[in-house]
Amino acid sequence: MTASRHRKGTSFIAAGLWLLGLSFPAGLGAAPSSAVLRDEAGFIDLEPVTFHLQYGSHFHRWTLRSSEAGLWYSFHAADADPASKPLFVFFNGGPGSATSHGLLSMYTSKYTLDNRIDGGGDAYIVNPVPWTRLGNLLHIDARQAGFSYNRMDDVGSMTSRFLEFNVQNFNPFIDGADFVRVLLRFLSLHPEIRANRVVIVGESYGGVRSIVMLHLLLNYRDYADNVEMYQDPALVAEIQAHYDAVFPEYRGERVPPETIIRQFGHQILIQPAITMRYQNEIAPPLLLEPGSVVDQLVGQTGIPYNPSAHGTPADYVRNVARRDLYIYTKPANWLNAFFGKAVALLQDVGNLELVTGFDVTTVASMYASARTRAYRVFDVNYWTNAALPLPARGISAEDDFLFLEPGRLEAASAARTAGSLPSVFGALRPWDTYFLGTNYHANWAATFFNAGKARGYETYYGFPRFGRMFLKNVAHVQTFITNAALDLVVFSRAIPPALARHADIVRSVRHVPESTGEARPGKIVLDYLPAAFPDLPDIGERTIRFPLYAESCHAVSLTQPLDLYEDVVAWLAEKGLRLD
Amino acid sequence: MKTKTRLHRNLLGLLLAAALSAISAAAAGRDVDPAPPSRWQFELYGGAALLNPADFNRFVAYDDRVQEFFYDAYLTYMAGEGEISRWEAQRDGERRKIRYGWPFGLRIKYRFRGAFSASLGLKFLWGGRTSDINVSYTQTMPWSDLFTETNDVSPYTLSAGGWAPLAGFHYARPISDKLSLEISLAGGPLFARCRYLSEATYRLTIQENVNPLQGTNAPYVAFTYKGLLEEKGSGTGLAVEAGVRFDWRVRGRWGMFAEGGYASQKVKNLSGPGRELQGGESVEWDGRWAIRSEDVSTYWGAVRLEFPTNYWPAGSEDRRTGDFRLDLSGFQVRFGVAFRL
Repeated sequence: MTASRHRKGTSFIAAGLWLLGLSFPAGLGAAPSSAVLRDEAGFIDLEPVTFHLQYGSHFHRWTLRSSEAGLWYSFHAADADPASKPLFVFFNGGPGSATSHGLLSMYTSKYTLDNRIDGGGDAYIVNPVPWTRLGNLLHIDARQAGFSYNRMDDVGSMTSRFLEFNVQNFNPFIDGADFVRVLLRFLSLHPEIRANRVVIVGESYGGVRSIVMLHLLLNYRDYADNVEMYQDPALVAEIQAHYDAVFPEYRGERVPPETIIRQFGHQILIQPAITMRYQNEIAPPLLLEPGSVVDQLVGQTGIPYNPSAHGTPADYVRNVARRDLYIYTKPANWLNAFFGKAVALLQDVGNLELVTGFDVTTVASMYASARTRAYRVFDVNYWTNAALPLPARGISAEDDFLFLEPGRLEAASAARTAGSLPSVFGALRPWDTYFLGTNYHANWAATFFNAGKARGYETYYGFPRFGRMFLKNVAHVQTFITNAALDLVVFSRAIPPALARHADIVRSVRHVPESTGEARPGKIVLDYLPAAFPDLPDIGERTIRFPLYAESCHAVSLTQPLDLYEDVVAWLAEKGLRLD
Repeated sequence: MKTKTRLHRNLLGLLLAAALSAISAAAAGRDVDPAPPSRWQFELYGGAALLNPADFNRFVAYDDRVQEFFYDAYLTYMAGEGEISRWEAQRDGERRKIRYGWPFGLRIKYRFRGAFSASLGLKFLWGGRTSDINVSYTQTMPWSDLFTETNDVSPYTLSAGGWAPLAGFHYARPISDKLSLEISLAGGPLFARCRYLSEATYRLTIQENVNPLQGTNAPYVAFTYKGLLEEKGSGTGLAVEAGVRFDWRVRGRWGMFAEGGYASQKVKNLSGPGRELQGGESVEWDGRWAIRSEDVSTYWGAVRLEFPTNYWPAGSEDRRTGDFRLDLSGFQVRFGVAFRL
């Protein structure tokens, strides 16, 4: 009875916060609307960062230092009154996959690949539903992905380069910290929107990146006072400096999450990894249910599914039915062809300028002469290896999907020498390149030979730690998750039961597929246990918007762009974000 | 335990042998000239001591427990979860505790009338163990590649010691004209030191021809990490020792002696500097030694670790679970030469 009263009370407070939110404009009003915001692109530099990984035992923590890096961003100002509009921050996943060939090229910005043509067509087209109508857009390429590149002194040594591809540069925490740094520095450079609301939009592994970013932003002091496994005092100081500017009433003090969400209070997750180990454990049985994916494909191929012969349900889909795991109704590599096309197009300066809306020849750090310490891969045979058949590369068919997606890699290989970037910016050294759609060396460093993972630190994005962090974030942050029916890489139906596995935090997780008036219905209702988090009052219930995209692949913005756009507009309006 | 018993037996044997040899020498030297009638005597001695500085030696149990938890228990969990197929460990060397020490010193002694003497002296004691430990854990991944983690700890050093100015009182009775038996009691301040040093290099090596580096030669070192922790302490306590000894007047002014007994040598308040080098970053501090407890909770289990340290960063005081005492007490046997001035 008492618990019930508490929940009602909390819900009332939460509802009150939402109502308060309705009265806020997208900008919090801390900065005057002065200079004209224009589209721009370039690099935001990250200095080497010293951070720690620890489990409470000081003497058995690791002190690590990330590499110097330049992270590529593309900013598009909102179509109207950008200084008062929110900032949408986009990123893809991987780890190691570029946002430039993902969300930036897929119906979020002003130009896009053409989803009416398999493979996206031979040129970018005008996006009929640009998110610039809603706000300002910031697309960021992760460390070593897309146009972003690392720098080091001993760059000519393969051994030295190889040692850079490990936990100090590739783990979800330094990755999320990279993005927070880029975001805060971008905001600092643009005082017109420094205090504006920020909506995080992450796809795939980008779900974990969003989790980490928001957890860093909401619980920032815990990342310098030995509470959290990841300790990054310099980042905490940078976040505090940002809050000092945006929330001056808390200058120098810990800003509570209830205040922080006035700026960082919304996330849109497209087919996200959240608590991926549980998602991966739960998905296979769901794929085998009567009438489900495997049943459908058995009907189409006429080959009964035999686990001992075919392996997992996903193996059956890929190897027997020869379908694309990103969209099982399409042939293998259907989505990769779009990514590959974007990779090829972005090797051309003209296309890059079209997509970014910016004269990229003015970006000094792009030129070969400025990249003497730059590196992208450790093995200069990266591109020639891509042309080899899988066995010659030492890759089994089972590893193929996990570690290589040949459609993208081979497209990158072919495109590397074809575009106009080298002729404009200069020829690069063998370990450097202008654009990498997915950097598999970065992906392997994050997922495969990661010393942090080997040593027991939760530096692998599949660990349940990220599910727990997500559930804590959702206590504060309005959340939207896509439910793409045809995606088997992140099988959306597995997300609610995967969240329910965190039984120490939630009493129940209900997937409510019925419509309450939406065109694409769906909600996830989380019922938190009392005292689920010691530092939070009883949370009660939280609702996540979980709209169904019946025709969609992993990249929902590509296959149902208008539907996603409309749902986001409606959801943000419901959550108090004025966009008109 | 067996080692300790063996050492006790050896010390008793040495004492007995010394006594027997002194008696037989005395018996053989009856017709040697009587000693000059000087009351002053200078002595030099050295020997061995059984030590067990229990608080300080806790470093070994702590470091062993850390390795067991962060490696063995973790890999067992990972294998159970199917994250790795299997693992095996290979260990070379072990962390060793301080079990014995080496006392040495000098003493000047004044013989009163009758059987009583008094002495002033300086005693030094040093005990230390240095070990080299190489532990490698090979993990077989589900996709069949082999990762090997090696942790080379070299050196791993525990050392402790000190010096004490001692004033003593002695009571001697002749057994023969060359031999005498003496009991003594001495005491004074003890100025003690201790030092812990552990220097480790971690490597993650990919052993097979795995995807990332096709066409090059295995194994590949994917990650290296160096760490060093050094903590020093010094403090003042009390040394008291009681013993028995056989003196043998060898010839003229010269004599030899064998002595054994128990020395109580304890220091409660130690403090000193420390330094840590981790991944190229250096931290230095100065602090008081105490026992600290840390509760480590991970997804594969939890463990409570207790260890001595002088590092107390802000917020860690509540983890203090006990005082630290450097106890250098133990049985000692010493041999020396004496010269009558």
